[in-house]
Amino acid sequence: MIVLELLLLGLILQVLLGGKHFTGLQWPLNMVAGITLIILLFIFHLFFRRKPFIKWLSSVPAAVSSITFFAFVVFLLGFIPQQNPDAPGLIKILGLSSIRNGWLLFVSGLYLLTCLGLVILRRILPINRRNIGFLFNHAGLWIIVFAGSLGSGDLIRLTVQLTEGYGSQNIGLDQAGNAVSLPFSLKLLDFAIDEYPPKIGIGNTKTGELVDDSHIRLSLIEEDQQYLINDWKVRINKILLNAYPGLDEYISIDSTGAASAALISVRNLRTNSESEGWISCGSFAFPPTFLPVDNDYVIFMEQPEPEKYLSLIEIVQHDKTDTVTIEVNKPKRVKRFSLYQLSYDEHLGKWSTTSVIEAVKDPWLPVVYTGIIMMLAGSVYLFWKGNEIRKE
Amino acid sequence: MFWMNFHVFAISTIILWFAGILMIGLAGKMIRLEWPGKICILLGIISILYFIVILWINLERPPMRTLGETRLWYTIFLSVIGLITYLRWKYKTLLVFTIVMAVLFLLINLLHPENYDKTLMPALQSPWFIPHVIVYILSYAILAFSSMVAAYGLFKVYYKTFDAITIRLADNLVYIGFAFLTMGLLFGALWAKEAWGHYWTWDPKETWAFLTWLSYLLYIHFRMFQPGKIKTPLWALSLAFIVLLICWFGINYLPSAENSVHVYGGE
Repeated sequence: MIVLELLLLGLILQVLLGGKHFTGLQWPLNMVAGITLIILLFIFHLFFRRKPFIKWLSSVPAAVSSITFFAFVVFLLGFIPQQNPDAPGLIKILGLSSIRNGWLLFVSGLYLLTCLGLVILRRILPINRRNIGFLFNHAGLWIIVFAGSLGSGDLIRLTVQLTEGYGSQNIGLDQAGNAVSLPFSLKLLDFAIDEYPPKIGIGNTKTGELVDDSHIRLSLIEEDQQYLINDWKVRINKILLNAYPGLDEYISIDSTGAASAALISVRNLRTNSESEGWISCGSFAFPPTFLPVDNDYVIFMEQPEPEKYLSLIEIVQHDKTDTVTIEVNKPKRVKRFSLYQLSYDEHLGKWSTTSVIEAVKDPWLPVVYTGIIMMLAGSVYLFWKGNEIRKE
Repeated sequence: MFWMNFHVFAISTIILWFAGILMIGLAGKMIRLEWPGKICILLGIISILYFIVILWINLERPPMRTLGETRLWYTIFLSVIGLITYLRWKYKTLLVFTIVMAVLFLLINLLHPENYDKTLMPALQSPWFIPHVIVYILSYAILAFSSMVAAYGLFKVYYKTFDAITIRLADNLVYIGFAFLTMGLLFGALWAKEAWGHYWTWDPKETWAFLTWLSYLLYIHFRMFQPGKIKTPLWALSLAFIVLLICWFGINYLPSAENSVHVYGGE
């Protein structure tokens, strides 16, 4: 019943305040709101816990109702395409295509935090072996939801586009495209991509379909190796990783715009017809080359996939200068910011001299991590508890 | 080209498993077939495990990227859980369920052969990759098993042979599976922070993983709310598995998942 009321409340708020996005409060307002919530929970707990309604809020049925409500909103979020400008009018009015910063998620989250908070206060004493797992799980979740949602207003994510040969830069763009200055400046010394070897495949020029011998239709090629694709036996005679097309062959040139090319010979095992020639995946500087193997089919090379890419960056702060390497999955910390390798100029591919770095600052992160660590400890407890019931 | 040999391993495993089940099914006081049956099931598991090890060596990366590769791990975990439960509690029916389910996943892999793809995109090259995937697939297998127990329970309710042990077993499995599910979700959050700059971005896969987590959370609390009710939680547990499957496979087909960072190809 209360769920229906809250659901309506969320929807009504959304319609009334519609259009206004709930972007999250910023420091210090979020802290004020957070402390208010905590104080309210304590007041409810200390002075009104015998009132039937407050008592109910910390009960198992309330937990079931708040999880159901929250799960329902998350379900809508997972089912309805978000940020879709073509969404039907009703969905837009109810805010169902921007649930992430809508009132529905806010109301259901607040209800969850209230029930969860009250049950934690009720169960916090005594702290003993039986209780500790309960507290880790519930308080851990409470802290994550609390700090995660309040902290979202203080989260700063800036993209910084850097180009080799240009000077250092201390301006990043936030998600709305506004320029924001950083407390340090960055200079790109070098950007490098390591690529996997290229892949080859055989495609039908009329239907555009790949020859579907799924095991190998797109395999990484190596020199002097043979590959069987359906009825065709493909032999790789030579691979050039950086090449430009010449008059009738590819020439190894290690400069901007060069692409992978391979000299291959193909034999059709049924008709025994043979052909030989160059194929290349091409680049922004020249088109790809295919080798026809019969009237309908050509053999082609795919653009190589990046194995890793990294930026060598000089970080200038007012008192010192550091040189660091930033790679995907290996961010670097500078002055409460973390720097991530985000992307590069994909049109230029491996010849890109531009690197896009993301600078992220999340002051609430330590609080969220505290909650995560508590829940990890709590999950060990759940595992142990699962085993314990079994032994009874 | 190691996937080319997959059918050899898959078919020998399927034959071994069916032989094993047949022997265990026939085993009684007169015929001593139980041990050979168990050994057949174990050999079937070893055959798939051997395939995974060789695949790993050949790929030069952990075989955990594509859906087909995760199905292999699922087959292993499911059959191991079924065998352990059988060794410990003698549930023949549940052993049959897990083996049939594991065979189903092998068949899917046989019918949809995988691309042999050595590449591993930079975002997946992380120490978090293996723990995240293993913990998740293990939890999926345990939770699948709990849903089988639930379905088995509903069947028993229908024939009025239900006893409380069945739902107790389901509860235990949910607790253990949920523990792993929580770890998988949190490992994922910690990894996302390293790879993408933020621990939670409401990416469709994240949203559905969270929804799966909430479904099982709901089951756990509902069991405390009304411990006497049997049919509702059993149905809920069977349905929670559908949410899990949407999260695992269905996500690629949802309208909301067009830009998911979790779609790594495979089919």
